[in-house]
Amino acid sequence: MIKMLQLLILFLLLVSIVISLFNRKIGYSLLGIASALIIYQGLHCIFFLIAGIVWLLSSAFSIFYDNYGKWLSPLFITSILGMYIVLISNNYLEFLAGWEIMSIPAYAIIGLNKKIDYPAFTFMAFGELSTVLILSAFIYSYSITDNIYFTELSSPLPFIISTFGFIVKMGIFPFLVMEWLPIAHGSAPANSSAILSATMTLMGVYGIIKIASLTQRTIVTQDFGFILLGMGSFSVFFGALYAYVSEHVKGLLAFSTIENNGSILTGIGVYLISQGVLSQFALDVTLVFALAHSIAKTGLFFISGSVEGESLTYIKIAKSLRGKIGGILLASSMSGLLPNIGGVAAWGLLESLFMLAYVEHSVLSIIPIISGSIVAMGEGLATGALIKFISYTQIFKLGKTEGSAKVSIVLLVGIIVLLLGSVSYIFFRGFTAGAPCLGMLEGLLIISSYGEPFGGISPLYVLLLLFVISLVTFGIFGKPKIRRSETWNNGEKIEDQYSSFALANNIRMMLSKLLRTKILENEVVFSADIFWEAMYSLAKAYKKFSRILSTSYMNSSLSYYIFYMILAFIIITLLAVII
Amino acid sequence: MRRKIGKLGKFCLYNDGYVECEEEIEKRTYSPAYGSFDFVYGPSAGGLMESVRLDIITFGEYIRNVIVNPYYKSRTIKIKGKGINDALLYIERINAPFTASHTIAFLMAIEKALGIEVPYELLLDRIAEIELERIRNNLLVIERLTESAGFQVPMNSLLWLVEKVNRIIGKYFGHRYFFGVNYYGGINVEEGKIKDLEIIEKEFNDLFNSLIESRIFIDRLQGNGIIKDEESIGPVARAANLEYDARNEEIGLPYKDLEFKISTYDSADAFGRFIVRGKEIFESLNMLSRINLKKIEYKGKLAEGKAIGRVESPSGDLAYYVEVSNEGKISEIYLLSPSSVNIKLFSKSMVKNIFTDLPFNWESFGIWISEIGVKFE
Repeated sequence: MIKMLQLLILFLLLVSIVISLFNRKIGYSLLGIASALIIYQGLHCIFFLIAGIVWLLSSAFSIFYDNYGKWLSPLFITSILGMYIVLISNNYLEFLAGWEIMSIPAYAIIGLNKKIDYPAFTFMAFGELSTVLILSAFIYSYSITDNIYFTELSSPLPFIISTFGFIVKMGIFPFLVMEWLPIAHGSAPANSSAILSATMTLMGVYGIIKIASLTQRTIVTQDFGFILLGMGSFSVFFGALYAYVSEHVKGLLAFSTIENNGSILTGIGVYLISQGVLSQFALDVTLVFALAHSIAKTGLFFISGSVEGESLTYIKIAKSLRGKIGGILLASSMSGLLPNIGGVAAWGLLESLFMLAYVEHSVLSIIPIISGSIVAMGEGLATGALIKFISYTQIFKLGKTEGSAKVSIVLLVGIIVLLLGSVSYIFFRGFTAGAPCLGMLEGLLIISSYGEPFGGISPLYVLLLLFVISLVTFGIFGKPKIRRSETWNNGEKIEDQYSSFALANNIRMMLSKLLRTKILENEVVFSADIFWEAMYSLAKAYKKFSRILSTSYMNSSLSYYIFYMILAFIIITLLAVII
Repeated sequence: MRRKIGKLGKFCLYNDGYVECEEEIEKRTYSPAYGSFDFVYGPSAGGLMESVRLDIITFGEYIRNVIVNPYYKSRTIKIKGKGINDALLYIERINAPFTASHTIAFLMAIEKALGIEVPYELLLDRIAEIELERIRNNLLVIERLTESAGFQVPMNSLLWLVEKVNRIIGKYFGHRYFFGVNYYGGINVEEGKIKDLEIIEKEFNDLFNSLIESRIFIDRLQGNGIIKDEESIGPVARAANLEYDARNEEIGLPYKDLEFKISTYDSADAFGRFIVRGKEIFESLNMLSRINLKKIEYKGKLAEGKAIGRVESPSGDLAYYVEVSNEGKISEIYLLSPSSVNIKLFSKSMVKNIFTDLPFNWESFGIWISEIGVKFE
């Protein structure tokens, strides 16, 4: 039955690729049908559910959004086909085939939509670095198991190597560039940015968890968990920091994705370090985080596709109540606010870290505590970044009212994110309870637990309380009396508005050492990513060194070559004698 | 050393004289830049004592430029053609906190123009007025600094000290703002030594030392609004170690007989200005303790003439140029107010600072908007 369903979905995806060459709207519609079937398949596996929801929403959005010509829709659907192959693969070859089918069209999308050349090449270079690492891990797995199918691994090495491959794709510290460069500088279309940011990184999460589930738990995997914890929390901090100071409407979201991926990796770290109940709770939290991030981020990228321009300070937006409500819901979810699904995820992650610190009960406890603090700090910066994003894309500088289908989809995603919070109990099987003395029914309280209960929340009750309190207030005081007055601007007419750039300039100045901020007479310059700058400088230095070496010592001079040959002869002779 | 004080009508005023000169229009432009915008503060906003608009050109936090528009409080005062004592009624109302400085500078210009020799005791009375005015103003400036920092206790203590000084002024001069005290031909004053000054000194000494020891207070002032400009005046110049003070120069008031010592500091920032103002309070109290107030009159005369009168007001040089007709009427009058000089210096000093520095820096200059937008007719 499942095989049949998979074949049907594959068939639909292939057909939609072909049809989209001639009629992209029908192509996207067929993709929508395939995505609905993937959601159905997701009733048994959360990764299908997350990917299916994202692809269904993206296909609906793309129908109204795609005016990029013939090439975008087939490439977009092909990339999704690759991801689906990754999800359904049960051997290394299928996985790798899916991985490349996913990556190459994404490279083409960025390359074809180029304003400048290097983002596409950089994306491809890091993408292939990811593939090489995964391929190495898979070859090693095959060499020790003599099996091409996913089977249990006695050595942790394939897991460690492949994890590095996956985290490169997720834009994890220090590979942040993998995420933001193609989206911000490559100006990837909004629908493609959504799948690059939401589901392509989801494939990385899937890969890590898949290989982790095959690997025997040892002290090495546990220690590796601490490394992931550190990398994850640093990614949260730097992702959120760069998101806050970013001025690019999509770049901000890309950095926010790095922050989210960092949180997910931190969750995976706890999953690897801990055992038993806590490990299961951390895994549940990781998956819920992936769900919250993927769906909300998709909606936020749709907003980025509904504005004119790229810089937050100068973009033009249309007035839309639907867009505003949807955007605020999405931003609040991404800020970790209840009762949205993002609130549940953020709560769960911090609980996991603090439970881990409690359970470890040793010097090592300091690591999850520090990670938790960094994650909390990052969440704060992320909230600032999203407030900035929503304020400048949905609230300030409004143009004429526009009722577009695109903003209706944003509202829909916002509502999904809100409601998912209240049904998140289904993702925490074994971690639900009730509190009858508080009027909370059995199963409506999510309990964080390491064997013993640690904390609890009830997103449904938070939602209900919001409604109930609002209704009671309305019942007692009636319709609110609203007085509207003109904005007071020191007694003067409103002229300029506070710019988005200015909103974040406090952090640029306070963290000037970290962000390498320089205030010049007519501009403020700061580093978009210090790790990328370091890599870039290193590459440039290496190139310079190579050029000097080649022109000085490998310059086709006959005497040099004779010298090299003599040197090589002596070395080999010496080695032969010694060995 | 010759120093330029500022523009006095059609003249450029120096410490040793004046010459006719053209208006130097200083154009401080700024180019549009990404993310930069005009943050408007004032003319009607909380935190400002008077109507003034500050256009803060900023990238956010960082201040690229500040353009101050003080002309929301503009006044045209009809003085020309009026008699000297009638004119004084208008002069003393230009800026009440600096009434003594304005009226004395105006009267000194008149007396010089008419060649009147003013009795020595009257000059000492005038010094007493100006120094009491300085004490009150400096206390108020420091109070405004503490208010900006949200320091309620020193703020209210300083306001109480201001009130005490006002009461002393009211007791000895008949009006808390020196209205009706100075006139052409004499002074209205209660004779004797000024009492209760030692209480002011003791209380201020405690407050001043406490504020200097408050790290969180001085952190807001140090490095804030650094300005060292050869064309600066008053506490702004002295905080930058420039020994510019009309009291040390030949202006016609016998400060040297009172063993006046100039107060300076070397940081050139808001902290330096705070320290200079504090030290000047002690110096003024010291000079006041040497003065015995006496009610003196002199005989005026009708003649034609023109001259400049200059005093060291609490915020720097304040000067009047006056022409008197032989009927004893004012035929021409120019004013150089210290605030008109300080406002330019403030603008310059704000560049490269941040938003939170602004109120402290603004208050440290002790600017009075009311004396800037004045035109005489």
